Amino acid sequence: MSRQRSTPFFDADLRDGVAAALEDCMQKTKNMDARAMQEAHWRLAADMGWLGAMVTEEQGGLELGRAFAADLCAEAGRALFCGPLLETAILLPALAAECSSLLPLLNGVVAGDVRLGLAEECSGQVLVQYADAATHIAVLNCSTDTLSVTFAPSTAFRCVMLQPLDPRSSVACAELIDPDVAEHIPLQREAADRVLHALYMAQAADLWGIAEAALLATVSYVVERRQFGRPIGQFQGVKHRLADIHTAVDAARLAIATTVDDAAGAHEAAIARILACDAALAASGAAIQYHGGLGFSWEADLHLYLKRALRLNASTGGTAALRSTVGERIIMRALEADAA
Amino acid sequence: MVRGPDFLRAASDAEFRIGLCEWLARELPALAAGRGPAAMNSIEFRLAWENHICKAGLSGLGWPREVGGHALSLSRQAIYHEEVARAGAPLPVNMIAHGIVAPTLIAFGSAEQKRRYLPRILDNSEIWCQGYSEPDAGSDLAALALRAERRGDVYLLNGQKIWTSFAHLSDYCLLLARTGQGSSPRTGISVMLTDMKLPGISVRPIRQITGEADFNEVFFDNVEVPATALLGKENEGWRLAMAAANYERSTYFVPRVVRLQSELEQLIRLASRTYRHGCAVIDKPSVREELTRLCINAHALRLFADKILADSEAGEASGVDSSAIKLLWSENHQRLFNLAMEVLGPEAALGPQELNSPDEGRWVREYLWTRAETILAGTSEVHRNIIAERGLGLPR
Ligand SMILES: Cc1cc2nc3c(=O)[nH]c(=O)nc-3n(C[C@H](O)[C@H](O)[C@H](O)COP(=O)(O)OP(=O)(O)OC[C@H]3O[C@@H](n4cnc5c(N)ncnc54)[C@H](O)[C@@H]3O)c2cc1C
Repeated sequence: MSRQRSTPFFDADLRDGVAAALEDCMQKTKNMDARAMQEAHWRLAADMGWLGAMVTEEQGGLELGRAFAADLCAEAGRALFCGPLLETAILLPALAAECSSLLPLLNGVVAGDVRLGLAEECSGQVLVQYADAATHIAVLNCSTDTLSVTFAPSTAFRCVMLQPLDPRSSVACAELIDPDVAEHIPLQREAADRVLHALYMAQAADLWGIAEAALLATVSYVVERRQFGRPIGQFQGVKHRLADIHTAVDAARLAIATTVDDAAGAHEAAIARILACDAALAASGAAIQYHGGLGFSWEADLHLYLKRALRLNASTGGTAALRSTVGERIIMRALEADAA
Repeated sequence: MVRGPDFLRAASDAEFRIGLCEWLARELPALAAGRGPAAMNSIEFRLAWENHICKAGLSGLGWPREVGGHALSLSRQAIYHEEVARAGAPLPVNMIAHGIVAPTLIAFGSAEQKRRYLPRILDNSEIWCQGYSEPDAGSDLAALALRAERRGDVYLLNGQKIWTSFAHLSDYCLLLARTGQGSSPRTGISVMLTDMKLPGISVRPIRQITGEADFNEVFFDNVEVPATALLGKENEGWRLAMAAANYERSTYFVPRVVRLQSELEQLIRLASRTYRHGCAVIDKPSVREELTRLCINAHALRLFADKILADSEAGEASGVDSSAIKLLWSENHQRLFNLAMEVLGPEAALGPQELNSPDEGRWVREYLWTRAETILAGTSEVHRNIIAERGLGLPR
């Protein structure tokens, strides 16, 4: 028996329901251009109530909690969902919990009328994900302990669309032309921790979904594909590498499962994101390698996993920077414990 | 026949190099005419540059004089490839013709075949592709199934090739076909110099993960190829194909190693002009450490390339060194661009054709392209098997 899908973080029926709806939708939309695809995927997410996963029932949401959010994001990663799902459904409610002026937006989130584009500053310019359809844009500035967010309707920005690496995303170079309508949200220690926890966990889950999907696709290919009279999965060069990736995917899954816990914070979520990112890059890279020429061809779709993983890897400061922040903290804690 | 710039007849290697560098410093910028990195690596410019070189008489460097070559020593050929790469010239498109078809024709072709094909490789007027891989014969090339049946003075070809680079631009194909059933799959294979314009051949481009479509599926439906297209003896094509692969080995990696080294230098520059949170990316310990590793590996690569060249000059077989260098080169090339993506930060999310990203998108474009380098010309796994079995004598 080959590798099966992992157990869900929250509930099997709910997870399988999400997966089935996404699969059906992916089939129907696979030949659409990115813009039309995003609209179709977004409509599905709104109709299914997914966008309200983290919104209170009072405000029309499902209030399903973090574990479901992790399943939702993982399924989005697996299915290569096109649209700012984790930004809108997970990050925005987390921001609103810290900044009450954003609360009125949540009704729109649930209805599918609000879409949040996540932006980052980079060598003087601001790059915004999904700027083509975003109704609001949040520019994140992270430093070690604090987080400040510039939040504004997307009309406050002038956007120039650029070619995205991930064909199932869009990206623009943006300039804030109407600073008066922008809200500056400084978040101190604990508030910052809660928001980053939500964001890193969602990103980790998406990355993990990519990793598992790429691994499963590769496993089924290497048992079918024959060279030299046998399945290529029989060669140990292939076996051992896939065994390592299997372990990395499971490690990331365990790390995400811990972050849905109430006691977990941004630190644990960052570790989960790092593990999930490593797993996603390894699994999607191996998927291309072990599919040979097929893996390098656009039509095989395996590149979509790699490109999505690269996009998430680069987001919110990048996984490499996150790794050094986490590393600093671990070392500091160890030294403090030693001194005490 | 005397042709080409004077430096070709320089008395010493040093003078040869100086003359070549002067020529390149004059000709390349003139032809490039202000093109940026993206346009410099376009197929259109690669072909234009290649045509320019050939027109100037700088082709057939290693061929014997009888067939219009310059009979340059391997070390001068290596200097040539090194300096061309260092000058920033793009890789040729017609590399199958110059690197593989020509030396194979010179060694195995009939007088008529040499007369017909070599001059048009020399002036680059005919482009060649390499039709080896098939859907069920990739790493296991000997499993190839495209049939060539002898019918009087033609062969009738039926079957399919896949991943054939530049087939859509090619005039001819160095094609491997099955002409007989032998005791092992390797017997019964023949090499055909196949005209790509023949009726019954259809080419379907396949889009690559870079967004470009440089490789193709090629279908053969009752294609009549004249029997004179056979290269060497019928059913003995395997040996010939293996020999063909060897011609390139002595200098194949020279320009690639030079390119890798110059990409490393450019990456160091990119990292020192990219700032994140007020710090230059080059100052990050993880970036410095990986750069150092890459520089050291690039040094080792250079030594391998030199050794392979020296062995070829001495007429010694390269053994598993050619597998070792292929592995070392392709895997470090991937690592280099992995690091580049980290250096780019948020701009790594911009696409390979986005001219508004650093160096006109070349980092992302090359990142994607390097994924192919561990697959083509023998996958990394295949080369590891060769090193383990032939180099270490481990049981198969
Ligand atoms: C960009 C590009 C350009 C190309 N251009 C050409 C061209 O011009 N002409 C041409 O003929 N071909 C060309 N190829 C095809 C290339 O030669 C094949 O892709 C390659 O030989 C691998 O074959 P495959 O794709 O069928 O993969 P497979 O052979 O099916 O391999 C799939 C995976 O299994 C692994 N594997 C296979 N056997 C073993 C083993 N014994 N031990 C361990 N692992 C194993 C492989 O390493 C690989 O990871 C090109 C390929 C690419 C990507």
